[in-house]
Amino acid sequence: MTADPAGAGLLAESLTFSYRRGADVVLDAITHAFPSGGLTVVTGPSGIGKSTLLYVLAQLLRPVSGKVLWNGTDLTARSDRDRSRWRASTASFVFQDAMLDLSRTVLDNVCEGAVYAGLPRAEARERGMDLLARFGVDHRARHRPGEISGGQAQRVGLCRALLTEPRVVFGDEPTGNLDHDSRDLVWEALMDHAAAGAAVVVATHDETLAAAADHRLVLNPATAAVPRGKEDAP
Amino acid sequence: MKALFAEALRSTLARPVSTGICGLVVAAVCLLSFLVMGRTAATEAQIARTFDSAGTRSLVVTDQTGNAAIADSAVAVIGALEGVDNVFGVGPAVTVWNPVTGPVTGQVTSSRPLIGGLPESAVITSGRAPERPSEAVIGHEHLADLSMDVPSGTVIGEGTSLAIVGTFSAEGPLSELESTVLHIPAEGAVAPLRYLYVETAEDVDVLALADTVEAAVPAAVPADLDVSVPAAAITLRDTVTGSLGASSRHLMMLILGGGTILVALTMIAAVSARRRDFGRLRALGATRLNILAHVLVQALVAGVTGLVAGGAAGLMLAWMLSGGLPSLRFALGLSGLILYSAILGALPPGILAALRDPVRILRVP
Repeated sequence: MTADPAGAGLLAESLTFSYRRGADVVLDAITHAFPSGGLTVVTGPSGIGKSTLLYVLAQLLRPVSGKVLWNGTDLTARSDRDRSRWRASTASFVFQDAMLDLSRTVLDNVCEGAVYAGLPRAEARERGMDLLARFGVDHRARHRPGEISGGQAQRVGLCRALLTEPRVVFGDEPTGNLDHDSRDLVWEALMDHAAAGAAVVVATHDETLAAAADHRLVLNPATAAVPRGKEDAP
Repeated sequence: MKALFAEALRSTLARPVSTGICGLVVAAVCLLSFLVMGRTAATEAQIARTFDSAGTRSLVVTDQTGNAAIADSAVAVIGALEGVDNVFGVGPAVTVWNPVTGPVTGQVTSSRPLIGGLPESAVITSGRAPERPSEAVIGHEHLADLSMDVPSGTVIGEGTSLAIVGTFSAEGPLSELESTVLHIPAEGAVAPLRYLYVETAEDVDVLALADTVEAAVPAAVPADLDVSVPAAAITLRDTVTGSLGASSRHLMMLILGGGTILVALTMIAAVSARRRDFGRLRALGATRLNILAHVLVQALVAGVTGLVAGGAAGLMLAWMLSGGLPSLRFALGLSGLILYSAILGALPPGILAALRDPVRILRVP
């Protein structure tokens, strides 16, 4: 993965979002930078909009107003197809429950997003096996997700997220269902990926992990962003 | 695009149950369609053949007075007309008898020269068809009229001697010739024709062709010609086959319409089962079109599988029950229509899946 230039990364500018017109505002004029080369945790009480913020940043939801800039380019103005292509080529997701396709093998799951990123199948499978080996689940490559443990499934989900060497990784409570060992492994992998130059944004309730992050964004009950942490400033 | 199709195909094949259920629905529609339509088409063809054997594809030009003098070149002239499948003529009659028994009182058998050869619809039942001058055949039920048990022997008449080499059987207007000895005339012998038998090709307007034939027949006195057409039988055939065809088309539309709805419902169920997969794929970068392609590829695989299985079973059953098969053109057309229905049925759930908000799916625990 090539590192982005200094000051690069995702930038939320006055992001406001509600799920329906006239419904409660979930995100209210949030402005925050999610720099490349760092892991930013998003914390706050349940239902405050942490996941929603991730989905808006990932272009799966359109904000009511405001912008999401990637290296200075406004993503929110793009068509749905272009935003999908941006996700395929640049971003990736680690979900809370791994979200694996139960009908396909572990290796197939890891390689699932490669086709949308334009990665040749043979190369994707080679990379996939390397990643599975890195996270100690290569011996499960031919198994179905129903035949592996929850911790192994989440590692598979992590392999899938890292396959295309994405420059942005979103994690929606990626360690929420894991034991300590698996949690640490996933967290270290995300930290390593951030250290390699990616912008990693993780929504979490885990204060221990949050304390270890490079940056932190706390969403408060007033639905406005209150930046807090090592480097964040209002 | 190729890689996306391959991925959608792999994803489909990884779901044999939901794809198989859709395939079963398509197979059932296909089987029913081929069974009903195949049987109807075979029955329709059988009825048309029955009518045709009664002469609905034949017309006969007759020299009513014996003075019209139809030239023997009429066989070639009429045979060259578009829509004419076969034509032959017969000349004036002479009385013939078996020289062994001599003429039998009260039993007159005539012989007529045959120009143009026997048509395929006149089936040789024993011996062979006449090939050389003075060789002759007679209707198999009239061989005894010549005091013969087998088609082998000579008959003679005024200035003529003929070798009987076979018997034949014919239906429709040609059946009138069974009591007549038909022989190949001697080379160079010229005699005006008394009758001209014309068989038309399939799907030809026989009534319209009759006018063309009448105008084209080379004859000295065309006013003495009569062209007879089984108009009533043709009308009846067209009415019966037309009604049968319309009825089966309505039935097919009902089956295909119902089948499309069934496929759509099955695909909705299959798509619903894959909601989380599609949500995840959207998060991983799949476009709405990619999702639609996933659904359509699954429908295509189910459609082709169902078509092969249901089509084979339907055709086999149709053959077992009616003893006939629909034409290849019909089978291919119906197959295409069923596949089209399967894709069409998958389109609404595919579009719904593509338009569905991925976040709503991803957030469902």
